Amino acid sequence: MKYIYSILSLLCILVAPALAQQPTGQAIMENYEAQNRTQDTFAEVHLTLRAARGGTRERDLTMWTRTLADDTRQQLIRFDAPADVRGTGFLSLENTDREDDNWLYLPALRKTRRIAGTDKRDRFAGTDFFYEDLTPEKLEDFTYALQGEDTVEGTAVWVVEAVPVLADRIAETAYGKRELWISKDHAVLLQAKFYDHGGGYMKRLEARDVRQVPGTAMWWAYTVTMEDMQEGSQTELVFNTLEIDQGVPEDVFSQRYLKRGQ
Amino acid sequence: MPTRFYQVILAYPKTVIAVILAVTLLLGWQATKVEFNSSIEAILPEDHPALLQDHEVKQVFDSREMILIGILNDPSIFHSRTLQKVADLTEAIWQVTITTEEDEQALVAWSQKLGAPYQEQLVALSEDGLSPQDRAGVNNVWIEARDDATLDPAFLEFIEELRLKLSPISDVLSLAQVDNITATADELRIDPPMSVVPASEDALEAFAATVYENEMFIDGLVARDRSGTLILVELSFYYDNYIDLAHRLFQTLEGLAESYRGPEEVLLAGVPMVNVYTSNYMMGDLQRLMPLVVLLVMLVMWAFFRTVKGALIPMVVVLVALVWTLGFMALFGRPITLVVSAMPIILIAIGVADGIHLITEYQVLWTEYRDQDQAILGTMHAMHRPIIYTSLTDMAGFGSLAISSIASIRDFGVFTSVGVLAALVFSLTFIPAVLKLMKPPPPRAHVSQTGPFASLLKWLGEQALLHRRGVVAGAFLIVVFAAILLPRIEVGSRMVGMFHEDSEIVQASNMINAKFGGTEVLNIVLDTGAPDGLKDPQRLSKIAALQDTLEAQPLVGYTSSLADYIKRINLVMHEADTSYNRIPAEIEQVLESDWETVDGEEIEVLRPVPVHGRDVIAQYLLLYENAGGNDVEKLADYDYQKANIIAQIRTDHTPHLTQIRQIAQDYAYRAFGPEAKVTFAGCSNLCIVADELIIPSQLKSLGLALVVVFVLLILIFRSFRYGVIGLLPLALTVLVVFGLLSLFGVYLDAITALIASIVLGIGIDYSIHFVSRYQRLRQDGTEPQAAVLETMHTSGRAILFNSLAVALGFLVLLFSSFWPVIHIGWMVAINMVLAALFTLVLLPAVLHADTRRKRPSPPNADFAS
Repeated sequence: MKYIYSILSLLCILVAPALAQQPTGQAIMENYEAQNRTQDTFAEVHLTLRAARGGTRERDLTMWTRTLADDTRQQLIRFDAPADVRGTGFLSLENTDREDDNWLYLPALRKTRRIAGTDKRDRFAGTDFFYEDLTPEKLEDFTYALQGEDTVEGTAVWVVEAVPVLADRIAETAYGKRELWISKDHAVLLQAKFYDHGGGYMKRLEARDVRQVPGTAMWWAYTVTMEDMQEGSQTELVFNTLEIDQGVPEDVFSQRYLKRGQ
Repeated sequence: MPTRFYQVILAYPKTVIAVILAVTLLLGWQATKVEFNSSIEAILPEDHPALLQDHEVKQVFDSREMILIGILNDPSIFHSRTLQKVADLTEAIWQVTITTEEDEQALVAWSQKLGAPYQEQLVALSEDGLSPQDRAGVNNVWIEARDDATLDPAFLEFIEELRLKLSPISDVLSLAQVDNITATADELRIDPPMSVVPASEDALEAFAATVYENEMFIDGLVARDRSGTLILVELSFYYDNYIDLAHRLFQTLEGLAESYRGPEEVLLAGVPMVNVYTSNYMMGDLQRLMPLVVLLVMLVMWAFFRTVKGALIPMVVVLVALVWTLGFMALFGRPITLVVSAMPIILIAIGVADGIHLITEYQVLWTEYRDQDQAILGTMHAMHRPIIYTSLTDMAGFGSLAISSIASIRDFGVFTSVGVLAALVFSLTFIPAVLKLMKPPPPRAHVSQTGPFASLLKWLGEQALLHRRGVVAGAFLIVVFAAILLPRIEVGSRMVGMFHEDSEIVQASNMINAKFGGTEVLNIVLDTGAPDGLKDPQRLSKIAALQDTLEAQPLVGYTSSLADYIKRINLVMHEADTSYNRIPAEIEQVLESDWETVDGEEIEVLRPVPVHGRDVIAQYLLLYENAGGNDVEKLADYDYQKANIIAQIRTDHTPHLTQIRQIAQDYAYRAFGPEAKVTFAGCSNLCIVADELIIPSQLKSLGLALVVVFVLLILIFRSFRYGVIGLLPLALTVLVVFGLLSLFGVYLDAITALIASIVLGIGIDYSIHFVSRYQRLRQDGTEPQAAVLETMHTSGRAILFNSLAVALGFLVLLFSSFWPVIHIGWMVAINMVLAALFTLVLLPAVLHADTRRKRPSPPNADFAS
């Protein structure tokens, strides 16, 4: 018996380097999640929306997020431009025990209102991004399979397929399948294809301008473009400022701060 | 000159017939590809500014035509069974596909033809047939294919069409699926009013209250009296581009509607439905009326010739001509429209005349010569000129329509002329060849000198000569009457009203017009000149006021615009305080809360601050977008520069539509000033534009026809004076045509506008026959009075007979499904007989008066009939 174990161990040692060359999809995504995990973020973002029927809309907004110890997320989004919507804000606080709290502040009415909870499948601020595209990867909700290797703009990437793991999770995501191109060097998502539950090709993401986030070990794509393959619309998201784990004050995620407007 | 030509034909009759038959087969095969198009777009020229503008508006506001499905229940739709049907039907409509077995076969064929990456996907799609489950797969192939430059374009076309067949519906709006902006205690929501079908009485009542609380739904989605609700179905494609698909979709929806009927009524209406009905009725008309007119005309010919051959040969000629014409239409890619659909019947009614004349002459000459070749050559020699002349005048009458601005009138004119030309060519080639191959007819007695016809004609001629002044005075009186009636002609048309009152589409449209906002749509597009121009409170208020002005018109049932949504959001953002059911003002006072420390205690104080209404509107729109609302897409462009104000109208009478458009135009000009551009679109606008084109265009065509016919008359008679005289009876008839339209209140539309041209083209033959015969008799030395009576006896008989035959042929149109076509039927019938009578009464009087003063000019010796 001992003998057999020895042989197996030996085999393992011999095979290990080969395995190291081909990590599993799960391992890649665990690494990705770990590399991109944040306590809090502060970002100033410029959005360019292009409609298939013609016309563009430009927006500037500031986003604050933080993840609490119980893994719930809090987020404040505030519009800075165009001038006529300056100060408009959305605050969302996830709850574990009850429905999430969502508030809207319209500066022109000087009024805060509770609004219906945003579904993860909803469009973020009328863009081609869904809320789920902008939230951290939930490893336990998906199974990952390595599809192969590729290069995106000269960068070596792993191609991983992500499929929701359980029926009750399926209802929470718009995607029946995601194909993710993740850079080998810094675990940055460089490209993605999104499919609906019927297998229909919905959207394509392209990330560019990858740089190290100042003061962290994290690398980040500062320009992300999402294209709706069926509607023909497109949103470009550019991070003008990005601060990660620099300590966002707790009172940012409050109705009072929401109401401050600017 | 032509004798040699006919000798060649007589030498090779079989070759001539074989060539004609071969070409006929070829063109006949083409003719099977001719398309039917019944849309208003097909009536307007393709490059007309109104049409281009309409396409642009559809593109900017991402809109296509809508089918309206009305679900009615007595006394109320707020019944769980009815509402369940609304929910189920909404879902069922989303699931509608219109693929066929051919599509599945084509899919298999392509999967065998194409390599990676398509092959595998196509094989997967072709398994277990096509269904909504394949939408995603076909879409994926399409996404890949559209960026693939190396691909066979036919495949891209196939996959694009397959995509539309799998998802023919782009949007469905119903109680189960529409943006309802509401605010409960402290929460703002945008979701469908009915996510779950209410079951209990209380829940139903509460649901009804929710629905009627939102003004936007009343008349738009639900009937004011609760007895009905609409499902609005938007097509994924433009009717004009995919007519076949529209027809299949209609059948599928009709079948679906049927399965939901009882006790609820389920009705289908809307422009695409009208187009489909028009097409179906058009084909039905052709199938019903064609055999009828063929039979009738053959019967008349048989009565005249008393031989089957005599009845058959002219009919074969005209049917072959018809095949050629349809073949040419297919070759030039021109569709059969409602206007053009009258062409085959008209061609049959008038095209047999050449054959009749030839066979009559042949019978006479055969009796005389008893030699087949000699009789045929003699016939052709005597007849080929008059046949060419009368065909030329027919072609002038119809051909003048080629300058029309209305595409389908142009097609009608051009292709009817082509048909007449084809009939002419076959009469001069096919008929001599056939006569050569056939056994000669039995000898025929001379035209009888007695009988009712002869005595009537004799009496007419005598009376005309006796009461010359009276005749001229009568003609003058007709001119005066017509002059009084002419200005009262109403230019107008109806889309749904074309059909009989008891047809399904009229019933459905009437019902929906009675219960809801109206089936006719007028789009008023306001271009503010700069992005975000629609966020201006004043401008939005004026848009709202424009809607109020329009809704004050009894025929305008419902309007919608961006202003409605802003009003609605303003209302719900202010706790449904009805004083906020309005557009925010330029400057609004709002209460700002602040925290002040008073006596060491922090308290909240409210103080009023002024804010810009523009910012309020901008923030409402952001809120709406953020909440995932997208119904506003149809009402504003992406830059908020252009507004689409939709007016639903409860009538299809274009004069009313024009009036409503004028009201909108006047108001818009006053309210928005000259810098704002206001344009119109939608089916109503296209109907109005088509009408506006008719009068100037028809006047031009008719003027041209009169000039061309006049010149032809002068050339044929070789006399200016006789040209004028020859034109008189027809000029009078044309006046009567318009007088009758006015008298009977028949709309002058694209179809009835043809009547004058038809009457002129056919009727002018009568003048030619009459004057020519008279000229020849005078040349032979006959005294004027005797010449008139002799002309009455010979030509007069042919003219009267011809006019009765044509009138009878046109009366068949009374069995048409379309009012305008029915109007052509009786109007042409009456006016052909009138044209004959005017010729037979006016010409004797005028010719006689004329010749008393002056010798006739040298007559045309070659021409007699």
